[in-house]
Amino acid sequence: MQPVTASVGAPDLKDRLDVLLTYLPSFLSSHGEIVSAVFLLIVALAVLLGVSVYVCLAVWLERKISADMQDRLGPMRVGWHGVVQMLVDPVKLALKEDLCPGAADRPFFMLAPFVVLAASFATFAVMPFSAAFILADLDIGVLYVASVGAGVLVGLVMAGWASNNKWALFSAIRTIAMLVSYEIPVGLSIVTVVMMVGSLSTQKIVLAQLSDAGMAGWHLFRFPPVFMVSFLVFFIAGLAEVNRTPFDLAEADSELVAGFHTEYSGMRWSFFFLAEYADMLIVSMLGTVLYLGGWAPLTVTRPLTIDFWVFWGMAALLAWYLHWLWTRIYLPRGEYGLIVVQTAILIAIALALLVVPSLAWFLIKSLALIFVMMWLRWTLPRPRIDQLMYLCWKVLIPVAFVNLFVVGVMRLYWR
Amino acid sequence: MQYVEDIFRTLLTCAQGMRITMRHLLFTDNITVQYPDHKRVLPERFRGVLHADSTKCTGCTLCARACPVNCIIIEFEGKGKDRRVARFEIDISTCMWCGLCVEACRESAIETTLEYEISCYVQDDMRLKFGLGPKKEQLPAERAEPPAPQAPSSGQTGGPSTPPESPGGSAPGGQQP
Amino acid sequence: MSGIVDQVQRQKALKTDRMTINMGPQHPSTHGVLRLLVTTDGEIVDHVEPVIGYLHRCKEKIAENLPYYQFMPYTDRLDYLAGMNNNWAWAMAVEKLAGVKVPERAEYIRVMFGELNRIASHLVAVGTFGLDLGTFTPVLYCFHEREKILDLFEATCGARLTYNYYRIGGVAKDLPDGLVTKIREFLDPFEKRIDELNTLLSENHIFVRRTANVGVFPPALALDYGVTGPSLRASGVPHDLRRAAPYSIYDRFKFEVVVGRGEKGTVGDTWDRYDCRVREMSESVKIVRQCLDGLPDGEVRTKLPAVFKPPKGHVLFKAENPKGELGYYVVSDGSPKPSRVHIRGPSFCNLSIIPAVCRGVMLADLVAILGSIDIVLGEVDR
Ligand code: SF4
Ligand code: SF4
Repeated sequence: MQPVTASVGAPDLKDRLDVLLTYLPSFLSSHGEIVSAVFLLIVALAVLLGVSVYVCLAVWLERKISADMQDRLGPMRVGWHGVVQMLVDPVKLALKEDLCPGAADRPFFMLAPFVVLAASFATFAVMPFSAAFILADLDIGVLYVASVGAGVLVGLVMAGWASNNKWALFSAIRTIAMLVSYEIPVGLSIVTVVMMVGSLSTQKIVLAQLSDAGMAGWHLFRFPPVFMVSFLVFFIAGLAEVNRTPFDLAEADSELVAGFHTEYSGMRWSFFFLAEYADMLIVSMLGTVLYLGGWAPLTVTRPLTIDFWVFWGMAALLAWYLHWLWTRIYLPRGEYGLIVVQTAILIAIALALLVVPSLAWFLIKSLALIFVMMWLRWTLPRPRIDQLMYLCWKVLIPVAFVNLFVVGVMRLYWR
Repeated sequence: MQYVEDIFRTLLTCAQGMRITMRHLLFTDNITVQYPDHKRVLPERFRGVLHADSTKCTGCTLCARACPVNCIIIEFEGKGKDRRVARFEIDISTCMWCGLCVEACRESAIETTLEYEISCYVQDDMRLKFGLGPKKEQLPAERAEPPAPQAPSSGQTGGPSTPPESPGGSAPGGQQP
Repeated sequence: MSGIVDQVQRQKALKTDRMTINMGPQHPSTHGVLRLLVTTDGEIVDHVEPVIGYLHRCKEKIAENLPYYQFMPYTDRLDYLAGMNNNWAWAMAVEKLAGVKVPERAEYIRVMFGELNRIASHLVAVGTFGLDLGTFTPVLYCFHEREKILDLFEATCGARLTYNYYRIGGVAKDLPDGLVTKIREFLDPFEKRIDELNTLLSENHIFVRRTANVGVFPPALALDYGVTGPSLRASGVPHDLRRAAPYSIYDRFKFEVVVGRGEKGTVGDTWDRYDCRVREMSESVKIVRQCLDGLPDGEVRTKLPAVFKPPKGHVLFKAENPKGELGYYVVSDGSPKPSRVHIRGPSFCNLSIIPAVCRGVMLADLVAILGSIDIVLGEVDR
């Protein structure tokens, strides 16, 4: 297996993390394969740890965001605005009793959470966190994500079946139907990008979107209608793949109690949770890689590019909002000194963005997608199972096929 | 056509819904009250834990009889002129906060308070024990209503609801909620 | 030919069976301790049998052992989302039995609070219906509004859920100072909140597709099963006791009897039942406004004798509650306690239509239909 490599030219050499990750392994590997293998293991563990930390953060964020959307406060007790909740929650779950129902199929019941977790964590191997920071730049990167990610299905079905609970069984049946069907639109929309780039390697796909024009180079904006539709299909189907509301039929709490994890408790239950949030991250990261330029940074300081307009437009909006907030809550109206402070802060942010490592760009974009997922979750009702299938087979798949055709024709005449 | 319209509508209405949740995320104040730190301001008429004022109570047992769940226990001791309330208890674990007892009392002796935090470790703490009432002889005649043998109450013309000073044995030493 | 035979063979080999499954009494969407014995064929519901009684508290028997006025707090606990209306119906039943006159001001207050409670109850119904369909946010917006109504109630009678506010011959206390202004303050932005709810939920196409044409109650069937209230009106039957047999002072107010229009699908489908409630809230707002405008001064309670003994006789009184028609059948033997009380809970009758309409629907539809008839188990089991 290739160790962490710099096989693709690292364009952002200012990036210290990248430098470290680029040269250290090659230095180490010149001292023997074992060292590099150990190093790889350490990096892999770091990714795992990072994902776990992300999950804690995401759970807290989700609680806060949903609370705010519903005019509530969310966790407030543990630490400032409940931030320590992130640490307390896993501890609480770890301390809970691990129950296994008497009638359950014990080995499978016990194993299922690990299968789910393993399947979703394995996918992070091909995620290009930056120019150099990728655990395994496989030639079949996106295919690997799609296929290994489907392993989650096995785990969920195991859980649903082994619980020996009728609701869990329902959930298992729904999971099979859903996940198998939604693999297709996801696959088809991935293929559009792959056709465009001509490679399955995640890293190559990102590099193909890297340009001075910043945002304009992203697939999403390159051939607007085609890839936007493709992105939409990917995102919707991805939501269904990871069992997120509005497509959380497998664990629809108002119908199936809690679906496949009805009988689980404590740490085992939290593994499902962990996997769900990790899956969300995978879909967001894959979306970022395929359509949003992966780790490619925005070129906000280059005047008159799309990035420029978008960033400063957003900045202006944010400034207005902050001003509105501050005048409303903390200070009386008419404190114009504030605007100066805000502008200064925004310029500082803009400058900071220039030196933000590409790893951070990648995470920012992924987290933005995750925010959209949360936003959707707290807004929409969920469709029925047959409507879900309708959506997949009669809407997403035809649309994805048409898209694929258009991309094919484009490829034919464009190059 | 229906097909296209469905897709279009779904996207449109979802976007509209998302606008609303976003508006709430950004612009609406949160309404949660952080309970033990902040508390709601209760209206005057709030029906909380009952409180019986033993200095006002005449022991007429109207409240006990108005109570649908019989959770007011009034017991007497002594006979005739010495008859007085020996025990006045309200079992608030049975009480359903209906306020009928308050309405029944003509002396305004039993009242609802703004107190509502009543959790406790021992069930006996749920029995609110109030002080002993004044002696029977000092009560206006018509207030003494049936349950026990009527006290001979000649010459006791109805003083108003202000309770007389009780010279002996009416120390209001009851627990308060 | 052989292909078909093969298929049949294979189907025989693959043993399929119906599944009987307990939905409840501990289930998130049975709105309390209702148990539905569901036989399903995969996701398709084959047969539903509601099993009730988990919340039975012998209300009718209790009534026989209490003086008339003492039963009032118990009525709060029937349909605990509409305590005022239950109080009201009981008060009116006994008043009808004993021929008690109610002061004018009390009547206005009663109508006003009854309608406010109708709004509160519908808000819960609408919000939790959203919850049944998997959206969590509308319920909190609805509860936020309901909270304001409960604040008004609390300021008036001291309780937020079990009001015990109405009395035989009036209401317990007059309105506190400034309440009229507070009610107006609540009503003014309320319509905007309904619009917001409509955009967020009612018009949402996923929601519409989940509810339109699902669980249609044909008018004849609904009448056969004794369905009342918004659930019946959604089927296009304009039967509203407030209009059909105006009690109290309902004949003085202008309001529309909301009926289902089949806007998104068939008349009488789940969406219509939901929508009827939403529109009824607006009608209630109108009635409350008219009450506020016409609120007279004066007494709020007729004095009754200390020991209240209605004459011998029996009476059936029905009132239009948020859930449907609440009926009290009271038999008096001339003593201070009723000799028999029967309560016709609208939720109980409305629930009875479930087995008839839930054949062949999806499991998720069952939840939607159950949510749309808006049952409260306190009233189903009494
Ligand atoms: S509030 Fe009601 S239940 Fe409680 S003691 Fe008074 S009458 Fe009895
Ligand atoms: S009704 Fe009032 S005066 Fe009579 S016993 Fe009760 S509290 Fe005392």
